[in-house]
Amino acid sequence: MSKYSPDEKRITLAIREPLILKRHTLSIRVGRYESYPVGTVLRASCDVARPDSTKPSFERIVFLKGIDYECRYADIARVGFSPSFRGAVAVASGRYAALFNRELHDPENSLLQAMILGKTGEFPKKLRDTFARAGTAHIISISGMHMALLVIVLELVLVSLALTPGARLGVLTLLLTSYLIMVGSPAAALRSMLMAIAFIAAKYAGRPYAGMHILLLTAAAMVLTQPWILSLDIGFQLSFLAMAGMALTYEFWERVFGWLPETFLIRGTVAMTFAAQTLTWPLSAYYFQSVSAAAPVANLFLVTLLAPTLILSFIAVPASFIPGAVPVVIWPLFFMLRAQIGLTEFVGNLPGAALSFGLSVPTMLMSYLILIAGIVLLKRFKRSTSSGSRYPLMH
Amino acid sequence: MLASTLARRCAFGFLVGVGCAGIFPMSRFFASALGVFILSALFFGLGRLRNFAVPVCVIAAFSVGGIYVQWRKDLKLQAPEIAGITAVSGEVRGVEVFPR
Repeated sequence: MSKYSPDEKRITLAIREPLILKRHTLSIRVGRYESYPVGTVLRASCDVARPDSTKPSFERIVFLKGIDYECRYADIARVGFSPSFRGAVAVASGRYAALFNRELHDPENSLLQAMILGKTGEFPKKLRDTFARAGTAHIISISGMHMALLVIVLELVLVSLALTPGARLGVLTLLLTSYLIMVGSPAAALRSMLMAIAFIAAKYAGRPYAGMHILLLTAAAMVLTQPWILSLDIGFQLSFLAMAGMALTYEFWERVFGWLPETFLIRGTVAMTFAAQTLTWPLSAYYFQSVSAAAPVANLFLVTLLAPTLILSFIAVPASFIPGAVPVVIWPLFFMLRAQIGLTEFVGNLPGAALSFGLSVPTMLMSYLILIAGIVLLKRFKRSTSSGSRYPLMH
Repeated sequence: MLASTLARRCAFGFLVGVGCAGIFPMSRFFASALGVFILSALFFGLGRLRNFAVPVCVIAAFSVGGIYVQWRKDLKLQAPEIAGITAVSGEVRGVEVFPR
């Protein structure tokens, strides 16, 4: 399977016929602007082949995307439509995309679609690099922060509807699962959804819960379903390590930045950013040869804008059914998106915003060994000097 | 607390097992399993009887992880032969737009 072309996109087909290939998946490259909604039943005349194992992208596509075959030089015909839950969710996603396309210009439109719908394909590469330099690339993917904010807002709404805890958990699981399907189930979003459901289930059941316990069990469950994410999915690796860093070192960084004011969550945000970066920087240096130094400053401003941006964007489609309500939602949304892009460009273009250095595999592993040893020593020191909670995220 | 600790450490053992089996062939994997057992026993305290369950479960989870990933790999390689197939039909499950 050759490197992608900017004029193409890839559709994944769940094979129905021939019967020998039933339950296998097949990938077809089509033109970027050809429309094949999820649920469309296609018949493709083509050379069916295994993905080309001599290409570097083979392993990633075959194992991670779960694709067994590819269809080359396809002549495609639509033969019907199969209604499904997945298709209904794709229709909802299409409505949001159509509204944002109509009401917003780029780059605000592509930023919002990446943030909310996980459609990162149209996001300009130059701006993506600026977000990476500023340490705010997690904003343009569906990350744990998105899911956490979504869970908080949804829980507030469900509590206000006076639902029982069991019903709240059921509705929350259904809504989060729908959203996960809508955004294409990236590993970071799946990880944070499973963790959020586990946290809430433990809270409702009156059981104690600890960050590292849930994180490890969630990671084990995800790897059980799809083992290849462990070695091939950079999003899973970064997301898992960021959460582990927060669970293990947040208290330490909060003490280090004890001199910062707590107003507007300044201390918490800076400590959280440092905690997340504690275990991700070696991997970042290995994969991208760059580590953001400006992340704490950029996140300080951007995180405060994320919650209202998410809330407004989610109510945009329901608001479109009320005459005259769309501008009331879209204009504040536009200004917040503009502010996020402007702040990221300012911080990301500052001299020294990103430290450029690469790590080889041995130096990366050595860095992790040193970090783990440091964390173990820190925990032992803390345990010997205080009788506080053993688990940092236990409430 | 023991059950909770076991669950957490077994999950960790499973993850490390999957990771190692993804990198090493099976013979080296089992050699590394032995290494992990010894290290776990030392690290978690073989001397204390109550904690003996921990390294045993960690190594079991590690081995299960390794065997599981090998089984999945074999399963993947057993996809049916496709010679002579020139047409397929099926349902669109996903659309991926490549970044420009």
